[in-house]
Amino acid sequence: MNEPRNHALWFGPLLAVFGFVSYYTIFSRWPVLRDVPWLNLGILLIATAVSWKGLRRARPAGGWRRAAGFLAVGLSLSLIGLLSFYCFDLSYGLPSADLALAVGKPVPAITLKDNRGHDVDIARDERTLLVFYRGHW
Amino acid sequence: MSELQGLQSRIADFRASGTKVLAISPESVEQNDEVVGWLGLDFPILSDGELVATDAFGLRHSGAAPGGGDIPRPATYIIEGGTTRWRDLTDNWRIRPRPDDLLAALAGLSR
Repeated sequence: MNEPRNHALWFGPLLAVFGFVSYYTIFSRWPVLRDVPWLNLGILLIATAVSWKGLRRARPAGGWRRAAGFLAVGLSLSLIGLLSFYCFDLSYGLPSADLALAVGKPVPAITLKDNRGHDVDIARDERTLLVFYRGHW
Repeated sequence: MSELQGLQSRIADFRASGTKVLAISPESVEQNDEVVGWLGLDFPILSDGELVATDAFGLRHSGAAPGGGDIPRPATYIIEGGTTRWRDLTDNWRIRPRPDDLLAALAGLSR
């Protein structure tokens, strides 16, 4: 029962997991790779092709390798679906922009503490870029 | 952290355009200080834990925090003379204005 090794069966899923996780941990840092996840979808497509190759090679033999091949292809396709859903549907879920303060309006006099604990008035007279940041992105 | 790091990478250009950069986050003063130190930011992060500024700007995003709490939607304003001069309200929370776009907007505003 000395079957030839089928590296694609483990390399495909490994590449698929990397292709998904690295969007959040690495590549979202660069706007060009963040706004549309070209690179990560590309990695996931390659992972799908590798897994597909592994499945085709495993199919004649059958058994657990064929099952692993189906799982590998299924994982890659699921992660493509999940990343696409996150990027092209879920992350559009924001409140209406109509609620937000319009251009040309006075800024309310509000004092907040900066990271050193000093009071800062946000109704700035000098030209200021005010960035509302919700963390971790 | 890409948004704040992006602003930091062009901080000299923001200063050269006569612009002060202020970030606002719902985190505590201590957490913000950690982020400023960790990312090496040359601009402060203000703490809006009670979402007072967030609500004054109409930016509350209910239930959007990982634990189900409220946080601001991502938003960027240019303020001058106590008035809003320009704004970017992204329609996708992953996508924030790029520093180049902000510098172009600043250059396009009359003094």
